[in-house]
Amino acid sequence: MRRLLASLFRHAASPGLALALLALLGLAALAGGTLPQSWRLSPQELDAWHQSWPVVSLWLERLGLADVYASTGFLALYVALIVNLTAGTVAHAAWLFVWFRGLTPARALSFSALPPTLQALEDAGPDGRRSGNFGLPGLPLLHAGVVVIVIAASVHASQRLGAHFELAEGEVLSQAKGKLLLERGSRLPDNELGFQLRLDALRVEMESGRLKELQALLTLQEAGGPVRQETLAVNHPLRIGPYQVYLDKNVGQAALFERTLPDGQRRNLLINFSVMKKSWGKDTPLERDEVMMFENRPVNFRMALTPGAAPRFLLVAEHRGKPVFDGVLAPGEVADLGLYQLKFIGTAPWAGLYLASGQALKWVFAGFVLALAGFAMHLLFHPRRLRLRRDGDGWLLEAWTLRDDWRFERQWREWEGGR
Amino acid sequence: MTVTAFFQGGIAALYLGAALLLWPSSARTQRLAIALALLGALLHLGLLSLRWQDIGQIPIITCYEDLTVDALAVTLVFLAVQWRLPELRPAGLLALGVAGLGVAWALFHSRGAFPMDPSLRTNWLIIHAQLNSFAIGAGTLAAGVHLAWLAGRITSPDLPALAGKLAGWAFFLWAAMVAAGSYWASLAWGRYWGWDPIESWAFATLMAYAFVLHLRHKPAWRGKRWAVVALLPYAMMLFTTYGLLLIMRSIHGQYLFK
Repeated sequence: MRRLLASLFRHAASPGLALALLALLGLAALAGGTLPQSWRLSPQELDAWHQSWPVVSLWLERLGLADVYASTGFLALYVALIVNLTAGTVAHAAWLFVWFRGLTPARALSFSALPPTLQALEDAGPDGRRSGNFGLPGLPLLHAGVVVIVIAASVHASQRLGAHFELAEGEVLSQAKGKLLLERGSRLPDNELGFQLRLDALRVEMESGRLKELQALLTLQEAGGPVRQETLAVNHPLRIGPYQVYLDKNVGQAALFERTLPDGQRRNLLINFSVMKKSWGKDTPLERDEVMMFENRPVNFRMALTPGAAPRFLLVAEHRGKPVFDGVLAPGEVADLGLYQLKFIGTAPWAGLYLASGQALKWVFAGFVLALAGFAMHLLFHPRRLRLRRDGDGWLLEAWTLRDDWRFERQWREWEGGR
Repeated sequence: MTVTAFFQGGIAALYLGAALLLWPSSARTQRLAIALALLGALLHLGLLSLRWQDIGQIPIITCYEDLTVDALAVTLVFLAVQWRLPELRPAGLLALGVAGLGVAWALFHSRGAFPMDPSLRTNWLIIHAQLNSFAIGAGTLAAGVHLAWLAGRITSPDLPALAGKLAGWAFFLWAAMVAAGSYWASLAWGRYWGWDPIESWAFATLMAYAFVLHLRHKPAWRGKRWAVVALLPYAMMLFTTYGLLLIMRSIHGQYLFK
C-alpha cells in the first residue's frame, strides 16, 4: 500500500505530466480562442454557422470543442493541473531546501593558495556563507500562487453572480426577479436584494462620435441604512454589501407608459430602446419589434420612439394577424389596444448596469500576486552557498548553486582558470 | 510625406541599418550599430514625446501608437541587455529588425487621435500596455538570442542559461500583463476573465512559455533543439498582439483604434 501511494505521488509530481498538461492546456486555449464557440456567438450567428458547416459543427460539438471551457475535458485538465502542481511543488521544494542545507555540494574546487576573492570565506564558519536566500522559495511560491488561482477561480465560477439590468431615470431596483438578466453559470440571488437603487440621472458626453464621459447618479439605500447619493463611473464600481454594481456601457431611451387593465388597475410600463453611442443626443427614431404576452395571448408590437423635446411613439399592434392599433402617440395620448390601454407619458434615458458578486475573486488576485512575486524572486535572487575547508596543505571550495546562475558560472570559471 | 512620417521613416532606417551592421562579427561594426540604434532610440523617444504633447494623452491606444511604443520597448530592452552582456549583440539582428519593421508598419496605420474611452482613463491601461510592450521586448530579444545561437553567431558557454533567463523574463512580463489586464477588467466590467479570443491566445502563449521553461529541465532538451522549440511562444506572442485582431473580433479590438 505504501509503495503504491509512493508510486502514485511520484507520477502525480512528475515533470513529464506537467509538460503534457501545459501542452494540452495551451492547445485547449488555442481551440477555444480560434474555433467558433457556441456561447460567444449570437443565436443568428450560431444558426448561420450550423447551416454553413453542418458536419464540422456537429463534430466540434461531439468532441467538446464547441464550448471548450465548459467541457469535461477542460475541467479534467484543471483538476490534473492542481494535483500535479501541488505534488510537484511539495516534492521539489522539500528536496531543494534539504539539499541546500545539506552536506553534499553541487561542485567542489581545490586550491593550493587561496584567491583574494575567497579569503573572506575563511571566517564564514563550518556551514559556509549563504547569499540570495530570497531566491530559494521563488519557484515554490510561483507554483503555490498558480494553485491558489486555479482553486479560487473554480470556487468563484461555482458561486458567482453576474447579471445585467437596465434602469431608467427615476426607476428603482429592489428585487432580483423579473429585472436581472443572469449570465450563463450565474446563481440567482435571493429575490430581496437587501438594497434599493434608483437612477437619478445619466450623464453621457460624446466627442467626435465617441464616448467621452459616462456617469450614473444614483440614490442608494441598504436595508436599515441611511439614504445616500452615489456617482457610478467606469472603472469605479459601487460596492453594496456583498455586491458590486458596474456601468455596462450600453445606454438608451425608455418610453414611459401608464397601462390601464380591463379591471381598472393602473401600472407603469417602461419600454427600453437601445441607442448606439454615436447616435446619442440625436432625435432619430429608435425601432423595436416585440411579441408581448397578455393573459396568455400574444400581441405583436412594432414600435418606433423618437426622443427629444417633443417625443413621439409610433405603435403598430397586431393580435392574431388583425391590427389592433396603428398610430403615433404624443405625450398624454392613449392607445386603446382592446386588451388594455396605454397612455404615453414621455421618455427617459436608461443605463445598462451589471450586478456582480463573488467572494473568491480576491483570492484569484492574491494568487496572481503570490505567483508573480515568487517568479520575480526566482529571477532576481540567486541562492548560493559557499563553504571553505582545509584540504591537506590547500583549500577545498564547495558550492551549492542552482542551475542557470550564469554570473556564478563565470566566477567559478575564473577561479578554475586562476588555480 | 509629412514631417512625422519622414521622421519615423528615418528611425526605421536607423534601426534596420543597425540590425544589418550587427551581422558581421567585427567589434567595430557592432559598436557602430549600437551607436545608430541609440540615435534611433533617442529620436524615437522624441517622436513619442511630441505625440504625447500633441494629443494631450498617453500615446498607447491606436494601432499606430501601439506599434511605435512596442518598437521602442524592443529597442530599449536590447540596448539595456547588450550594455551588460555585449556577447548578445548578434541578437540585435532580430531585435532591431523587428523594431525597424514595427516603426515602418505603424506608418501604414492612421495617425489620427481619438478621445480616450472612459474605461481607458485609468493607470491600469498604462501598466497593462507597458507590460505588454516590454514582454514583447524581452520575447524578441530571447528569440534573437535563440536564432543567433542556432546560426552559430553566439558561442558563449553561458548561452543556454542566458537564453533560459531571457525566456523567463518574457514569461514573467507576459504573466504580469495578463494579471494587470485581468484586474483592470474586474474593475471596469466586473469580469476578471472572459475567454475572449485575445485572452485565450494570451493564456495559450503563457502555457507555451511555461512549457518551454519546464522543457529545459530535461537534459536532452537544453541545447539547440530547445532553442528551436522556444521560438514557438514568441511567434504566438506576436500573433496574439498583432495578428489575431486582423482575423477575429475581440473586446480589445474596440480600443486599439485603427
